[in-house]
Amino acid sequence: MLRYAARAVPWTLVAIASLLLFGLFEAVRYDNWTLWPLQGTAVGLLAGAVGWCLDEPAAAVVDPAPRGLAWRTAARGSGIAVLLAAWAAAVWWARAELYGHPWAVFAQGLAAAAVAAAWVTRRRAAGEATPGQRWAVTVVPAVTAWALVRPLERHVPVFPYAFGGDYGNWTVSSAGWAVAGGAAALALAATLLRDGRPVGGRRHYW
Amino acid sequence: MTTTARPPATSMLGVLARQEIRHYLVAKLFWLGAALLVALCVADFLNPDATNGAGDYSSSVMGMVAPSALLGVLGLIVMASLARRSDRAAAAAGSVAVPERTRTLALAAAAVVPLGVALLWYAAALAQYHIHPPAPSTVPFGPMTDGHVFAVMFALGVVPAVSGPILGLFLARWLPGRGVTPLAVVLVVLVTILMQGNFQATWHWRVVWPWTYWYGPIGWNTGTGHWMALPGSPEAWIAYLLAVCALGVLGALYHDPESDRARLRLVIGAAVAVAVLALVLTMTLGLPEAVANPIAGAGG
Repeated sequence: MLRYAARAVPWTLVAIASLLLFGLFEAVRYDNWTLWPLQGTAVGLLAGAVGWCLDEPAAAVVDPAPRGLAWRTAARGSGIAVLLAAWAAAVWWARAELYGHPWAVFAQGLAAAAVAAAWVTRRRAAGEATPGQRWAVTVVPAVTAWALVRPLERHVPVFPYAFGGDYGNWTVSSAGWAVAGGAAALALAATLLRDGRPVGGRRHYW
Repeated sequence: MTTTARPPATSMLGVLARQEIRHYLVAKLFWLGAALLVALCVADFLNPDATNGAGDYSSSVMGMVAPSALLGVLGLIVMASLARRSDRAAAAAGSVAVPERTRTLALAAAAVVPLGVALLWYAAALAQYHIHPPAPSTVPFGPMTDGHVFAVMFALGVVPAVSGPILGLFLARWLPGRGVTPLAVVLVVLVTILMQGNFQATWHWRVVWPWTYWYGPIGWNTGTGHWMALPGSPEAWIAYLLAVCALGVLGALYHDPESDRARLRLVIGAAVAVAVLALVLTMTLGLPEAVANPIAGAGG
């Protein structure tokens, strides 16, 4: 499994993303009042990088092979583990400047990673070879734009700021992320239990 | 022996440009950004009592982050996707039916779509400025005129709607590798947010970077509560930004090995000269130093 992971995971992208995560949280740690949107940007980057780990450019070759999707996803999970370790370390590093909510920020990353893994794995099970690229290309800028603008922050506190209030309620936000992460984990488990059998009865490779 | 007549380049460019404009118009990310922008504009207009982070009503003078993020950042991705789609179509066609430079110019023309939306945003922002003027503790104040504020709003609200997609086109041409575009978005945002004038050391040279604030409750976390106007001329900066946009398109065109690179080098050199001149004018004209609004904001 390790040999497979060593070859299959895009380690260069994982390393760049991990370093960037540290850079983003270092900036937040330096001046959380003005650089806070980078926290949301980091969540988007983590989600995108998880998607890259699960891509299988050689799907046409490996999908018919005896190793099922669950095994291959587990092997590729080593890349996700590195990303989550980087996420945890970066949050821990900046914990004093996260307005007393380091666990909420940490949970945002876990939930975003779960959503990314669930969606990309489901598309992989449907036969799409590199859905992670499509995922990252959409999610990273969309989440970044959301973190910068924070639309409807009072009502939809995706990335609460400072000590809450008009800037979004931390408790509501954490509950939302927990629901999203839990639902994604269930969806991921369901997809993996089917172990790569086609969803919707058809496979396509592109 | 048979020869295939190739249609004139200009008509081919027109056809392709219309096609890319249609592609841009049906991109989901573009519509997501445009819909959010409209929703934010309406919400801002209907809630004139809402305040910004420092507690002062700033009308539309600080609303530029919405079009620059929702049209510019998302436009970067939309354009990179359109460029890849164009490349796939060209590859599928086999022989070089349309030169890469023509496809690049057609893609650049598609930037009129976000530009149009950004201009509508600008008109709405000016209307909001006049109907619900900003508080005296914000801008304009002292040596600043309405024109200064409007120039900043144009430079930060309208130009990024074009420069974002052009950056996407440039990246798609030169760095088409996996993950490059999303990583570029993160890097651009990281550098941009560091250059917003929150750090005094950057005040004089921050204009080198294309997306940077010119005024606002800068340093409001220090508790002074005074809005600041940063040095420089936003009018000259618009010229600089447009020159940078032109350089982006020229750089993307330069990627085509069959293009007339000798001529392109001359044009790129001229564009660089214009950009440098405009940058020097940006730094030397306008406000010579940062100025603080004498009226303290609510955050003070």
